[in-house]
Amino acid sequence: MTPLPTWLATGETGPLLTAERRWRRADYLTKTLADIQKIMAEDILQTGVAARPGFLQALEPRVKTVAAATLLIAVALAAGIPALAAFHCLLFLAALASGLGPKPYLIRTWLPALVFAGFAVLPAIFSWVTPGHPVLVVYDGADWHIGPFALPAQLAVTRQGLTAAAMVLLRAAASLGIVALLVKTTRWPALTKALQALGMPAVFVLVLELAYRYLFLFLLLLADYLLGRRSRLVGAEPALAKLEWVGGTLAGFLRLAGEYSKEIAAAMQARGFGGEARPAPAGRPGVREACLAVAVALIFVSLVGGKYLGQIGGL
Amino acid sequence: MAKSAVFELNDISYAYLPGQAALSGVNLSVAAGERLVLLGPNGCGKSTLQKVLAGLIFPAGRVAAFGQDITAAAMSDKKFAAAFRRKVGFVFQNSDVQIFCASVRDEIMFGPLAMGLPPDDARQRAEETMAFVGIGALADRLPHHLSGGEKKKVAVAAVLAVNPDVLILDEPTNGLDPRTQRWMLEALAGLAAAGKTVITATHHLDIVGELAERVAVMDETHTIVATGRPADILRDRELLLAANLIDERYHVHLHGDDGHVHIHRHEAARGRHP
Repeated sequence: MTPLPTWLATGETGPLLTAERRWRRADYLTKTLADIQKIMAEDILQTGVAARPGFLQALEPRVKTVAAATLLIAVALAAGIPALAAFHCLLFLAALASGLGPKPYLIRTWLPALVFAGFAVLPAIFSWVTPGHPVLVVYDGADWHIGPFALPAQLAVTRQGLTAAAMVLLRAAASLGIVALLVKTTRWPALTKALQALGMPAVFVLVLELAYRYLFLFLLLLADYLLGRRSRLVGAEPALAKLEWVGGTLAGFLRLAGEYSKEIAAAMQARGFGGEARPAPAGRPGVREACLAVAVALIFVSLVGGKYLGQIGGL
Repeated sequence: MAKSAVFELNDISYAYLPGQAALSGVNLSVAAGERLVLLGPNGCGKSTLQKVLAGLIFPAGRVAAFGQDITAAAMSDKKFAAAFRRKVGFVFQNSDVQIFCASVRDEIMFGPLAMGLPPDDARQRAEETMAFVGIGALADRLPHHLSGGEKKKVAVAAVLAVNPDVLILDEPTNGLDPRTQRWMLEALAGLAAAGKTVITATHHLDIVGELAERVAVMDETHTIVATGRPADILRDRELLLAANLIDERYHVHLHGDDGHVHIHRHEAARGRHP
């Protein structure tokens, strides 16, 4: 064996300097590691909720999936705010009965609804977009111009605008609630099997299952990459070096994903997979599922019926 | 004279995910220049403990290195963190995660350049490190075109180029062919003889005698259940069985400073070992 270089045979570092006793902002490595840990913890929690006994967990996944799809259509066609508000109460009760907890459920449904849908519909509450009966006047009688364009003399929040915005928000939150309840109370393999049983192409289901499995593998690998980077930061890290590392890591992951996909395909072929669809084993719907079907039908009629059945009657 | 402690760990616990302990109540002291092996089955927390020692994750309990507390707050001081990482080098089990440069030479020059060495000195140091590790011929190769053993050597060289006082290696012989494995054992022995502190995690009993002057055994309770000289640990069949390091049919050969020990199942059964 080649002898140790002289410098390697001697210690080069003196005593460890003293750390400054104050908190600094977490760097990109720390933040990303924390995010990965959060995702993994969320998945553990989600798996735990889906596996424990509960109101929605007890239902057969195919029936539950069809029910969710039907309710999504009903919500999209819903006619009135009171019916939608009542439906939200039912969703909330179902979440509680399934052990989701009020806070996680409300955060999962209302936070994205308010942030995304709320932001999108905000202009609709004003008279410029939705003319109507003013409930709050922002200004009136102004004669303002932007270049050659004259602004309307009045800007107000209108009742019609508020109603339209509320409808959009309630529909968005209800849709998110339905999907959250379905996903949170159904184990992922059972959900994908249900989708397959309901006619989703087997290859698509297979890709969903593999994506779920390998997403976590890649997250764990990414966490190790981040620690690997951190372990070798023996000096200041210039901003450009950070960018180079991020770019290189992304490229490395793409290459790795390509290699993995080839290996996975070979492993599947070695176990006899030839790309053909195999029917997923399914449970047998019972009384509970029949009750759910009736409940969904009633909800559908309550949400949609007044509007569309009236039109049909008018014919 | 007693050697100064490089690491002092008191009542360390860590969980990656809620309710899933990776370390539980670990106490450990590592002396300067010591050759310590963390011995334990898969999933017992060896790698996590090494990451704690390397200041990569921050558990509950007290971790001190070179007399200073290693906390998330302390390591958020970039100067302190860089100085600490110069003193403590970590070789990951998966070499891919710590190799990120475009060529082997760049990879090995990364540390010296980050330390502030002039480019010519960094290059010289990289050449000497590659010569020591025996990868001079790979200098211009792309890291992802290397074999597993070559990647491992590059990862070791990249860490050695910084010349840390402490070397932490996670399963350094895993997946290596016999010749590379032998090289690794001899290289670590040489580095230890030069005064480096070498902390290795493994579950391979056959290399413990060569790697260690002290062994800390971890088991599936995620804590250290025994520490001692390699010969004493490897002779303790009950301990090794309880820690899931051997099965009933296991046959141990122990080489190194403590002579040569065999344990045969039929002898053990009649109480004649070692």
